Amino acid sequence: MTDSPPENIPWRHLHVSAIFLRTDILVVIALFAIAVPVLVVIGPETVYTKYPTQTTAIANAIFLAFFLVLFGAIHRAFHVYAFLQDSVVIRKGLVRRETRVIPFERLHNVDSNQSMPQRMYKTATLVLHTAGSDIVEAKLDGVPLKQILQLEDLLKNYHRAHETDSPLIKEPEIEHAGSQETQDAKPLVRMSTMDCIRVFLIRNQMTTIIFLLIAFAISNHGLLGDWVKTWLLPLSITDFVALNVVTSPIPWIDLSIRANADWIALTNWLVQVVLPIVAALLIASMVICLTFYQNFALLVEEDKLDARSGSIIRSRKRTPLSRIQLVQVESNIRSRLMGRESVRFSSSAGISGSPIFSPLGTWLAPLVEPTKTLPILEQVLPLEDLSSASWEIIDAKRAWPRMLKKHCVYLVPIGLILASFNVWLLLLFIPLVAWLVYVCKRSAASITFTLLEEAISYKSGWVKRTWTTRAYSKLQSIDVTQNPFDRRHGTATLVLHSAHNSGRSRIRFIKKERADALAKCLYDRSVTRDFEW
Amino acid sequence: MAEVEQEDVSNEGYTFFGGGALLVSMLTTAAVSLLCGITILGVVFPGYELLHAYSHQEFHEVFGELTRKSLLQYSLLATVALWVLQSAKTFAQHWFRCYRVDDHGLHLKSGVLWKKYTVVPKNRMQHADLKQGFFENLLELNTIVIHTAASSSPNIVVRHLPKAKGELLVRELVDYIRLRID
Repeated sequence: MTDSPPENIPWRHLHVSAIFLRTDILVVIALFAIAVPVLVVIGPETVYTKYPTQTTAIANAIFLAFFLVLFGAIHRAFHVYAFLQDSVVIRKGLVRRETRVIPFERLHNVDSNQSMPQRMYKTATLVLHTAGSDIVEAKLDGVPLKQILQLEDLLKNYHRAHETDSPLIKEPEIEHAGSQETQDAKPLVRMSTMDCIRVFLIRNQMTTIIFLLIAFAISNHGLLGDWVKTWLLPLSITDFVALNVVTSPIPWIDLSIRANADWIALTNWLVQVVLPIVAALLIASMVICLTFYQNFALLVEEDKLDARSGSIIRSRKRTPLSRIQLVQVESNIRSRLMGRESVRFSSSAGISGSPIFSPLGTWLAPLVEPTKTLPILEQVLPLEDLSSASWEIIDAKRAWPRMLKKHCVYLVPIGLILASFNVWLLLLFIPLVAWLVYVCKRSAASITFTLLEEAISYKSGWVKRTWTTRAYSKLQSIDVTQNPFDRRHGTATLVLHSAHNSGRSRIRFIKKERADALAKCLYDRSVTRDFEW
Repeated sequence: MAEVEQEDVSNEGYTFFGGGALLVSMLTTAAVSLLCGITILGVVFPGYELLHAYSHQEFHEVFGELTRKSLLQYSLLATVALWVLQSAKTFAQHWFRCYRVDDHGLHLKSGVLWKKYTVVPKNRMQHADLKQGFFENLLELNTIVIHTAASSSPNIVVRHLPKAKGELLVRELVDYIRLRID
């Protein structure tokens, strides 16, 4: 997206604070702030033994700070931008100079994030997205809020003149969502602090891992006494070894002697090293989760979806409703226990679906009560007939054995390994296989779809349930695929592609004839509806 | 739910690819197999020499009397086997590959074991590329790559079309896109 820039451009520099408030510099300073005291404390036993410890550390810090500020100054000096009547122009680079012109018509999302130090200087980080992916087209650290306001006016005027949807209306101060609601716009979703904690508990896969680690460590380490060992986890491997249930398949390794020493060493390591690290990561994840989701509010305002969130770094994402590619409602066991579902909106440049940088590795999707899901969907997408839709169920009798076969890929090798220890261990598989059969049957029965007037909606999954709805005008191409197993059972998979940022969607195990008919129907409907970004 | 008509699943109206396309595919497969063979030799022989130099006795305990000549024979056999298998796969894939262009879009069918039917409406196409590789250049064929806005799907590729037909198809698609934009 580098059209030739016009001449006589009124270039502007970033705010002076951008010299030392760049994200990368702040990260380096934070790391150094942690590293210096650590090095000073443990200095005598490290490489610092060779040097006078404190003096060297402080000198290094000053040296690094000088270079960081120098780089920041160079970055600012050779990083200029201009807001023109119909485009944003950015020129950067000292050695290799790059000029980028982003026309307003191609701007899809314009985000502005403001950290706490930036609030002191009344600046913000401007992030410009164009369509097609969630890759950032341009990022400007430290743009004065007055100029962001000016960009807002330019965008408004441009889109008013061209009668198109404007992606951005930016207030000079990004305030808390609660205080900024207008009288007309009532938030579709607003998340409380409790909801932020729920997000952490629902989405964080590490929670499960830490519980397993704690249970394992306790059962083997005897932290809570022998009763835990006897009653909580009676099937721990140490017990098997002690009871001589497990015999070594390799003759020269005496498992019963080696195992005790190894397990004690392993559990010591787990309790003393792994658990504190994992606990620290979990706490950090929770803090980040609270930081990102605090004051989250989602509202529809003037045909635009507006997502606001954040306490320390406040962000606001806004996109026209016509640009939403799909809406996905998800729930897993944990979220259902807490009575919540997560709703994810995706535009071609991402809005509430855009990934955030955090150990959570998840997206900024709000949690809502299940009763509110349908009204939200109907408000965001053109779905007048969703509540009265009749859902078509796939042939579950053909589907569940296929789902079960997928589990055989890992069950068979594990079974063989267990059998090599003791054949009776295979009895453990009986409840597992029974559970898997039940899950597969329920999962197969849960695959349903419906063709609405303007959209296709489909549900899948029983443990992790997903409900996706997308408009025909957003469909790009449609595939019908069949693998050898599909051909044997006369089924096929319908794959739908659109311009959202998180990949394709599949409806599996549909009868082949039905899949072909659906593909034809979707094709016909896509042909009669013009594509809207 | 809206009524859905049953789709005609036969290959009626579809165009299959000619002998030139098969020849290009086979030549490409042969070239790739040759490169694989060279890579195998490049990995196997230095490995042999290294192991041999590291411990002569242990080498013979593990590999027996493995000579350089027999190693070369095995490597060549592996390359030929790879080439034969790849050629068989290419031939079978060529046999089932076909396409159809109607007033509103492009339909593609492909795959032998893993079958795939793709349909792309013309009003979703963003732009089209016309490409020509070395072998295609020799046989006057070209490949069309059609881009849509879908971020997840690979680009739609129609390989080894006769040059005139490919250019005509691209011109038709581009005219449609231009007409729609206007």
